[in-house]
Amino acid sequence: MSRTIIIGGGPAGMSAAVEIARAGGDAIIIDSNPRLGGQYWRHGADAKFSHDGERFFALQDEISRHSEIEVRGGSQVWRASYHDGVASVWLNDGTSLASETLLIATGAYDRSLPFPGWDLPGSMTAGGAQALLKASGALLGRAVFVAGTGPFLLPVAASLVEAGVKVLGVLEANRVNGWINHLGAVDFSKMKDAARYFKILATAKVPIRIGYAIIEARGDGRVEEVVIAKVDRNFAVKPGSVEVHKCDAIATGWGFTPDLTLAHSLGVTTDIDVIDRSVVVHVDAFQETSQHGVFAAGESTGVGGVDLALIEGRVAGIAIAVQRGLISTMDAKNRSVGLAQERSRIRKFAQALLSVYKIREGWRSWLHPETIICRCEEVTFAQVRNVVHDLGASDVRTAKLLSRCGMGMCQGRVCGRIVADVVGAEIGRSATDDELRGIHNRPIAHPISLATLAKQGQ
Amino acid sequence: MKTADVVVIGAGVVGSSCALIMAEAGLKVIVVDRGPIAGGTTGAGEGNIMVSDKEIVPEIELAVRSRDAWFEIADRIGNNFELHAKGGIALSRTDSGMAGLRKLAAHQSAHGIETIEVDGARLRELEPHMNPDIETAIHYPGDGQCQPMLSAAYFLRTVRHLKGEVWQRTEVLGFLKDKDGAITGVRTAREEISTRYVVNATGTWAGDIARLAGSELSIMPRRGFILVTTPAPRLIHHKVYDADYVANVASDSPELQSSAVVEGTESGTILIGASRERIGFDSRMNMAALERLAKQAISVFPVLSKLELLRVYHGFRPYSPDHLPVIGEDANVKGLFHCAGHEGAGIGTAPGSGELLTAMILGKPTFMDATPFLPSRFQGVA
Repeated sequence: MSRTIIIGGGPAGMSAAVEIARAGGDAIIIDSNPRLGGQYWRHGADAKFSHDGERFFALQDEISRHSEIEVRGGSQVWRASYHDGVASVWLNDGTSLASETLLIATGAYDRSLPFPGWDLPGSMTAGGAQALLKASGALLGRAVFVAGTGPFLLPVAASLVEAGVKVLGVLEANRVNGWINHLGAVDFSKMKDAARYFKILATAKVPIRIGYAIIEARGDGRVEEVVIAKVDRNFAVKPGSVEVHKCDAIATGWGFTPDLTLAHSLGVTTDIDVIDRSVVVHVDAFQETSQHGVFAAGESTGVGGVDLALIEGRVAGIAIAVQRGLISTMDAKNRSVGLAQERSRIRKFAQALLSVYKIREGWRSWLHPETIICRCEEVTFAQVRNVVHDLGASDVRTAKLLSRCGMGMCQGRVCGRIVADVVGAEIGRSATDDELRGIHNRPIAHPISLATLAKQGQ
Repeated sequence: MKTADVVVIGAGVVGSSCALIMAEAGLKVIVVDRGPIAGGTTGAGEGNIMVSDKEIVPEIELAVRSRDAWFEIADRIGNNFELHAKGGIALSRTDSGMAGLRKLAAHQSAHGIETIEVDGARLRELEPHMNPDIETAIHYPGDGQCQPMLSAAYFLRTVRHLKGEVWQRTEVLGFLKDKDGAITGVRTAREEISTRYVVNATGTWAGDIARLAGSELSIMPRRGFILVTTPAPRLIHHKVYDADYVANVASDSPELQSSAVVEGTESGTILIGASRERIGFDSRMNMAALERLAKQAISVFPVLSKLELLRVYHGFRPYSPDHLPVIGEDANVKGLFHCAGHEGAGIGTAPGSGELLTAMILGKPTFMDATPFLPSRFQGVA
């Protein structure tokens, strides 16, 4: 049997690799980042972490001790396929790999919501702002608002403060009364993290405003001011609550959604999450997908954070070792003590968070006709409405093809879900499950040099 | 029950052209499609409006008239579908290939297609990035381009403004006939429509509709991949294709064939076609097709090696046994008119096909002798 292919070198991929190595197996971890760690442990060359670095170093050390684990960083998978029990991936250096076992550990990316001015320079996603800071220490601005929904806004704001940025406010759109208590109530272990963030923000006198959102950014060529408003439980603006503040950058985050491009190419069965309608990989108790030998762990099975990703990675790694005949099922049981219970406990917590920090439909009322929906192709809200109401587009795909919304460089990663929701609302129905799945349909997962492609045939 | 003069089945570019021309002629039209607008082959094409790749006289006549009709439609309803006469360049790097191209050009110009043989210097003016080893080619100023999905959508928008109707996501379930077997209506998933005329413009699926009506028609799918590059500043100005392309179109071979057809689009991406495979409705990606297309395109435009492949899409060209479209009344079912099997030329030849059908239904003279397109050439008369 060939060595296991692990796509993604974040927490899930790393912990799976360690389990496979402990069982005496070999694997190759492929990641587009030059370094291991994924988004959560993204770091620069000096590998400094503000917290939680110990677990990363422990995993990295163990991986580097095992020569059977190859780490191929800085490598993009541009295509994947599954035939007759063999999974194949093609890399952007023109090589390809095939194996009977593969782990999808491709993580998640930020969900964005469009609003007037979201496309101005100086406006970033919360994840983007943090990745910038982690990778290169670069700051998106000097005076910044952090807005959106979800517990992730706290670490982003805290790390900006620690980096010397003046954070003018953290705006949480959902009505979470007693943010910290809420987190503590569902998972006590998160209390410590949250308390640390709150302390940093309190010391820096950062106002935290619950039930507020950035509904517009303005500026001549870049963000110079923001319009902030109080929003109701459905995210609609409360009349008379609008304020305008000067700032030079904004970071907005609306939670995460799994990156399922390669999962889709591999043909695995997916589910639609009942709470946020994200597409997630369907896995069994061993993290195996509907395709024999293809496993999934971490955010690809539903956004659940680093602790869940580490456990799912371990479960997947052990199951792969069993499937490859490296260890017995009895041995696997001994290695898995407590994992299933811990997985289900954290999953419940993740689902609880998801329902509290849900994106509510009223965000669409922030849109102006000229608001850009698709940044790559510069398609406006009015143009999307036009293809539905004037040209008769009656589904998401047709609306995309007629408006070019989602057809640009990002291939709908940023706007795919937005377009599905906007078009759905315009035609008077929710996006169907298959339309949501279609967002992830990218046979070319990442742009590939034509020269490299041409050489493959030789 | 609804009443219409004509029911057009198929909301692709062929069906919407027929519907537009019939609605403009004063007919009450209902377009019915089991899917969305432009959801089939129309949504998977390059938008070719080509005269340069036509060899057989009736097809040349249809293509030339259709090309003119495209621009007339744009004048009438507004050019909202990126129609422009970009021109085509056919090239070959072998002497025998060029000899073939010259012979074809002479034949085409005798039938009204403008052809200009250009030397290397002129070629570099037309296409500065073309491989310097290409020293001669035929320039076809009459080749055009449109955005096919927008074309179908705007044609159907006009149909609606002319009191026609467009029923999307409505499957045709059967036909009503009188005692002589002539069409009197269409049964759809929504409701019945009383009509004497039905246009079958369902492309690759036209055989299914013919069977549903109690007749037969052989239209088969021929798969093609198109590579879309990342957007770039305008590098390529014409539709540029290898002479092998013309040979491939007329080929009967089922296995993969490909030859570079390269062009830029208004959105800045570059499209690279054209592969041809007869393997039914198989939508799996064929790596060999992608690799060959990339290789061939780079050999014509070395600059492409610096670009990246962004997307790939595929479609199924509807072809008939003799590679000519099927336009006209069914030999067995009175009132059923086919307009299908245009293969890779359906965007370009849609308006002319619509004009032919409209004239046939109204009993008026056609702009050309349509006998070579009649379905009776394949159908035994019952």
